[in-house]
Amino acid sequence: MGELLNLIEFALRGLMVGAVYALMAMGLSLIFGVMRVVNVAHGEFLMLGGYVSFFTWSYTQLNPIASLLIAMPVLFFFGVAIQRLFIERVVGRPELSSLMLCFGLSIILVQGAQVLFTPDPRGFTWLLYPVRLLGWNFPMYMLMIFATSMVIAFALFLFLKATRWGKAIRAVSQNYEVAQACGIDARKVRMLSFGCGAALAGAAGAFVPVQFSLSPGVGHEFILKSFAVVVVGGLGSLSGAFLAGLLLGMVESLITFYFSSHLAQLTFYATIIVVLLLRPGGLFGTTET
Amino acid sequence: MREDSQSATDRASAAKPEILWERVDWRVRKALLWSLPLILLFALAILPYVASAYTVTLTFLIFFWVATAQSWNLFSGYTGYVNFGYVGLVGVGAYTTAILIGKFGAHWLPAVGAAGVVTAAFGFLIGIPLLRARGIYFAIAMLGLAEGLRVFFSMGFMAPLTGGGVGIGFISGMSLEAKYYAMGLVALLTTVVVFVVANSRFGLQLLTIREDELAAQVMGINTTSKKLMAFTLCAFLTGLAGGLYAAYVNYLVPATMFVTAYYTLIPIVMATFGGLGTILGPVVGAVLFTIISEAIWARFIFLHMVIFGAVLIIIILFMPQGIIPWLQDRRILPRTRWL
Repeated sequence: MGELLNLIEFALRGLMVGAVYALMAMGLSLIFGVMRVVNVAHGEFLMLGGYVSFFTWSYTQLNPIASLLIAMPVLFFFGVAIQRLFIERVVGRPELSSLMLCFGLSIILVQGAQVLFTPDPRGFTWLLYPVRLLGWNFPMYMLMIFATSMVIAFALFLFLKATRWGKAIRAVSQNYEVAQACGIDARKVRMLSFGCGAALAGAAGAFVPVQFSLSPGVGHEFILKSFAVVVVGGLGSLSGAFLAGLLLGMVESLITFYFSSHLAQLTFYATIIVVLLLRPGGLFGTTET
Repeated sequence: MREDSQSATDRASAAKPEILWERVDWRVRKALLWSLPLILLFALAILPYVASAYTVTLTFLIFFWVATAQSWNLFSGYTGYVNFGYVGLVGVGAYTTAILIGKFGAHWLPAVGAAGVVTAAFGFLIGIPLLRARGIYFAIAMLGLAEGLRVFFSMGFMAPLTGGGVGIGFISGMSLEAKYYAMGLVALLTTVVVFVVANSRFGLQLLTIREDELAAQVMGINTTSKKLMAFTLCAFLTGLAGGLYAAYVNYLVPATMFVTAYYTLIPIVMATFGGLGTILGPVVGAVLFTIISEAIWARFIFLHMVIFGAVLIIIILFMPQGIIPWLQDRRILPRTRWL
């Protein structure tokens, strides 16, 4: 019985960590869906969001949820600028171009952050006290992060379902030509969705200094985890990314608990390879590329 | 006979060939084509006897980057499959040498040879599943593989062989000259292999895969086996280069060996700058960037990689085809598969 309770507790903890993966992977998937660009620099957007949150905390003592109001707009406009200046020029070119462009961006952002923010790991503690929930103790910050991530995820779904721009984004990702024929300005949609994708990564990043430790290279680990997530969920599928993020968070937590954290890390990479071995187009992949 | 050649040159001058290189008299061209490589080879062969240890080491590094940029080009440049996990192949080669010399006391020559074979076998085995993944999925899988290897080599149960996260140190027993000549031969071998592949039926088949994989299949090319052959060849050459590089580093730690930002990025930048799918391109890129980065390194240690990233972006945006095809487009160099 105690074993089972342990298992459930760690599954729940994993679910909460998974919410952060889900947010990030949704951004990655959104960008891919609209412009068929795999944003290899997505992890660096997360890292920047993390630094925004960290500096907001250390200068104004605003908590990470409040700093989302800064991190998300900052990353949104940063993403729009990146899209406008660089990505827009390679949309429609062979994927090699966009992959290498984002790769170059990612290197610049990591190395630039090392110069600007120093390579020291950063972090702060926030709401560390335990809260009793369903008979288990969870740290308060975990619950808050989980709840906020859920709110952001559902806000995104609502935005895509109900608003004019959201519908335009879905239209462009479903069929680019027909969307254009319907009078949708595909360029604006691409800018908007890249901005939203970056803002989602920024939101996920805002929680990094609380849950993990923040350093310029932190994006690297997260981008690979979100690759595993989107490969399982299907590139371009937002609900797939959301569910797979939660799922892989749970799996990671359980493996860390029962075996080791190294093995948990390896599971992510093995997941990517095994899924691609079985289904070269992703597990629930709708897009064959 | 005399008249014939006379009239031939007359006609050639009358037609005024548009390509700059072909305006040069054919005798001069022939002499240059034969003498330049020989002079270059001779200069490189006597370098350790005339130059300082610093120059020899720098040239050794140029050879290493030529070999890696060229191997990256061999697979990714010709098939269009972006190999973001290249550092994994370099690492496997390096670790094979390090383990064989450090733990089993092997001589460096068989150890480096084994590095090539082991990396090729590794490339073959992972290529079977991974090469089924198309385009972006392949790139993602390779990134995952490289990261997985880093974790794998630092895990506790590998520690008896790899030293885990602490790393493995060894004495290669190679003199600087031996390293220099060995790496020079690997760089030469890699370039020759690319030359042979580029001018073969196999090379054309790879290019067809790059342009349109479906069309290639329809034409009866077994794309999976061709890709696998190219990938294994790339892994073999990378293994040799990585194995010799280990003898230069002498101490391998997963955290510094499996750095995507370094051993994957730099060959990509060099090969892309020179021109993917060309023979001379990666060589030009490697020579140029090693020298430039050596000059920059001393002054801006922190900005070094930023510059590499920026150069990659600039190339992709403004000169995506690379310098050799760029010169061909401007009719300075002839369009031939020999370049």
